[in-house]
Amino acid sequence: MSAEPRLRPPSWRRYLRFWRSDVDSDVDDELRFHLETRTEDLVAQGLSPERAAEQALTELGDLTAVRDRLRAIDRRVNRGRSRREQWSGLGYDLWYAARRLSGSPGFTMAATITLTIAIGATASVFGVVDGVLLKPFPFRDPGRVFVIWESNPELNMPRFPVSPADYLDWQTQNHTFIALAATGFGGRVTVSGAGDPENLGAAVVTPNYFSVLGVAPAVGRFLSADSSSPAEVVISYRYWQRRFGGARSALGQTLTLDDTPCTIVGVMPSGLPWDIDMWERLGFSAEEKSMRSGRFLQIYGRLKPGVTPDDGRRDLERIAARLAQGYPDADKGWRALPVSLSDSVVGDVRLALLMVLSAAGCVLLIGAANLANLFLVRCLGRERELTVRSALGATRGRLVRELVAEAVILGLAASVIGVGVAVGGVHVLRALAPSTFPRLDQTGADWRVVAFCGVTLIATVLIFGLLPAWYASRSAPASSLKEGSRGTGSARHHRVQNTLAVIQIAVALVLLTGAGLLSESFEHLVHLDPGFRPGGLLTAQIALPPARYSTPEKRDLLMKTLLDRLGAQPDVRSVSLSSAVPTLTSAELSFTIFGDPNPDPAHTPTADLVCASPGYLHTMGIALLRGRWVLPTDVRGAPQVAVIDDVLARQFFAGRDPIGQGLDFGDTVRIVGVVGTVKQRGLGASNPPQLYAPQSQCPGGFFAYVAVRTTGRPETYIRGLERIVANVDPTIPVFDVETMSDRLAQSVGTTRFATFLASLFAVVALVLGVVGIYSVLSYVVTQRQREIGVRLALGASRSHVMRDVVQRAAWLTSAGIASGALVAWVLTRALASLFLGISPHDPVVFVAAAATFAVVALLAASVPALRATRVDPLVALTGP
Amino acid sequence: MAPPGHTLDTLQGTLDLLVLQSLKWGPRHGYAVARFIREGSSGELQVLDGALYTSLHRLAERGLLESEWGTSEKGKRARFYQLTRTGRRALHAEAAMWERYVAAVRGVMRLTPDAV
Repeated sequence: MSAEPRLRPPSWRRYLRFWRSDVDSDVDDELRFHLETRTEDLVAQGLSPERAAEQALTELGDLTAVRDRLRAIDRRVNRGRSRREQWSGLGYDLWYAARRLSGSPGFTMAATITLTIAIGATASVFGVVDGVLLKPFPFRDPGRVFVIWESNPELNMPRFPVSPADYLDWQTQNHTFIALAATGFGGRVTVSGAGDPENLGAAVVTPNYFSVLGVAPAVGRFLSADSSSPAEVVISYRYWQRRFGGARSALGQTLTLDDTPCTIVGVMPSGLPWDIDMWERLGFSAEEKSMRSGRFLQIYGRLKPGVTPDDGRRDLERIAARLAQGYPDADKGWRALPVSLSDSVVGDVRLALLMVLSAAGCVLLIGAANLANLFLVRCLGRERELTVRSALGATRGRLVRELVAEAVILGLAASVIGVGVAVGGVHVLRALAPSTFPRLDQTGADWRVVAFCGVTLIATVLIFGLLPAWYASRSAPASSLKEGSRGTGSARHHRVQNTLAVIQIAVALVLLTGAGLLSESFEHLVHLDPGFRPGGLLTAQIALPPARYSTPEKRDLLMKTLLDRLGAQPDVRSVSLSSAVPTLTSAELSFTIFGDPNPDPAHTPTADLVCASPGYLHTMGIALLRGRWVLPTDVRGAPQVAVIDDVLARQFFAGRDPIGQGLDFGDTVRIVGVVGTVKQRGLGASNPPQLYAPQSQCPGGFFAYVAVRTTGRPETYIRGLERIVANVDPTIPVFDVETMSDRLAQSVGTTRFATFLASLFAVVALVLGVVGIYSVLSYVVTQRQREIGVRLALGASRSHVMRDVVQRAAWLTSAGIASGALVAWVLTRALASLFLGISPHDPVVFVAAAATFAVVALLAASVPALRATRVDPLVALTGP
Repeated sequence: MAPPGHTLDTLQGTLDLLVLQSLKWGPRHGYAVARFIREGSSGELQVLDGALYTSLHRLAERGLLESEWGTSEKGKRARFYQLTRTGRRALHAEAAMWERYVAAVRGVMRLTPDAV
């Protein structure tokens, strides 16, 4: 034979056959070759072509049988041996990759740390996002469930509860919802009969509530629709576990809810996004059924199958329009607003979470760019070795395989540590998140987080490990083979490196700027004047058992007793009782100005009403601007008075003195004073005008907030408060005890959380970006050692050499900062809603971020620069 | 060409030995192995080519041969076989056993009644 056959197939083809082994055509080819060659030989011996072919076939035997036999054998071989071969080959590669990596600890550590930080951070955030936004609700088909509000945009009430009459009409007149269920808002109930009395979240719901939501009871059943049956209650899963240990015997037991005995008929499933433990039946009295102006219900609806949300919305709008026509006093201007269930539960935090996820994604991007750079440098560093081996016959596939193996080893190492970081990170995030964060109990380090780590890792390693590897193995410049050459790397390599470094810097700058703006916005937020003095204030709620305080007189007496007893304490400066305190929503009502020449029924003014005791002004530290505050003489039966705030005065009494004017909100009151505005709804929210009425002149009054201004630190007085209340009446529970400072802090909890995380990521990004610059410069210096040595030998000063390195660094940094600033400019404008109270293009922040980066980058550049100056020309010239 | 009726049936084991032997001096493709056996036996041994290829594949499965694709002397794509180290050892062992077997049979066939 003249042509020596190649005895070893190229390695990469072995991998190909791993995926699609072509046994059948191989066998065919072999047999075909045989028959053709035999035929040719026979023809050469004198047979005719047809007879030759016939004879060749005969000599083979039964062609089909032979072919099948051969195929069967080969398939067996393929399955067994080929796969073992691949795996052992892979193990071989990995082992050697591990050895090579341990030989360059600098690279290995840098790459591992980069990967771990980037993936750990992103995975932690993913853990939270997954729990809050991605995990499905325990409802059947939750996408079909909607929360339906009444909406009146002109009155600045975009989402408002629903009145019973409107609800009943919606229910009977709609075509698009299977059912509409109603529930009351944010109720609480005192539960006794199973251990100590507790005050728990409770909801009154129509019996179809459970089927509308799409839940099935964990045990037992849900509330029956029969209103004549004795009082029933459904308890929450966690209450069931806590009080009854998860025993079925809980069913049928009796709990006393606010003096009403109820039988437990069932248990809700776990995983509900609300802080509710008791569900009771909601029934409408005759007068409630016709109540159209009183809006206090929350409505849930489940769409019929095949109906789109748009259909549902249009249907409801149609009904609302009809109601507005039919009942203009109550419903004019009111529309129906369906909101998806998930929006309703997590809508507030979705934006903040996604922003944090983007920040983490940026960090991942920077880390990946870093990794790509590191790998590229490594490949280039081995360029000479690779070129030589390539010339000696190593195929490109083998080289790529080696580099990929290194990437895989690094990935495995990083994944082990990274998963640990992610698990810890999720727990830390959970702990840091404000308690008002929805669905926090669903976040945790479970298999989904680990899977995310794995997928991200594989993608990062493949894209950022493989790409440089393929790239590097592609070109093999002959210059690198020259003796003594270290290879300067082609201009293309440097361009790639520089581009990567610039990208890193740009992204890091965007993050830094964004975090700076967020922090500034947050600082602005917490330093807003709340309108009162929150320091030194302790607040708590009390609830009066209706049975013992059935008449207003009894309630008034209790309030007076409490105020006197508390006020007499030595460490209490002043005390008050009120229907609300700042950061907790108070009742919103609409009113008219008495004697207003042009009352416009479509634009009824509204205000937040707070019923307060005389001590409220002094306790809260609110400024009195005109007239007087509530006095002890403003009791039930005395002329009804009210105090308005500055905003109300300016809005409705511009130019005239509000004192003495009348307001009508069901009752007619006379304005006796004007006080300063209080941020009643928290620092970040918009605040409607406020109205204060004497507590004893307000109806209802089974709940109250106690506010105590203490001489010492308010936390120390909690026991004292509870003791005094218990002395007056031990059946009155005291709950929701917080200092006012804590309440204010909680009201901005989500913003603080997001800002903190964004800042954290920005710092990490800064570090990674700087590492990127450092590695690029460091490599350049190493590459150009000969050139530097030559220049030094020829008389260039060391400072000149250093200046060159610094110049390169400056160029990179400037390019990065410029492009980063541009991107940041555009992005912050688009996300302006996140930055409250400050300009999204605040130049101070932009300049500060750029300056920080420049300084840090220069510091990072100084190390390689100094190294360049310490090059010994002799060593550099004579080469390694 | 062997005269008709003089084909010797060969046992599968002997065929394996012949195949291994044909590869003793280097890799060959399947047709070359067939030709080697045919010419080596001066046409006496006429093996069904199908059986020959089965033998080649089975030996490859057992690890005595390894195969890969190459180009024949005429430039066509063909499958080449060569001995593995195990195959070489097996060849020596089988050849030695065959020699002993042949010697033993010859010994009995040459026996005359006097020698007993």
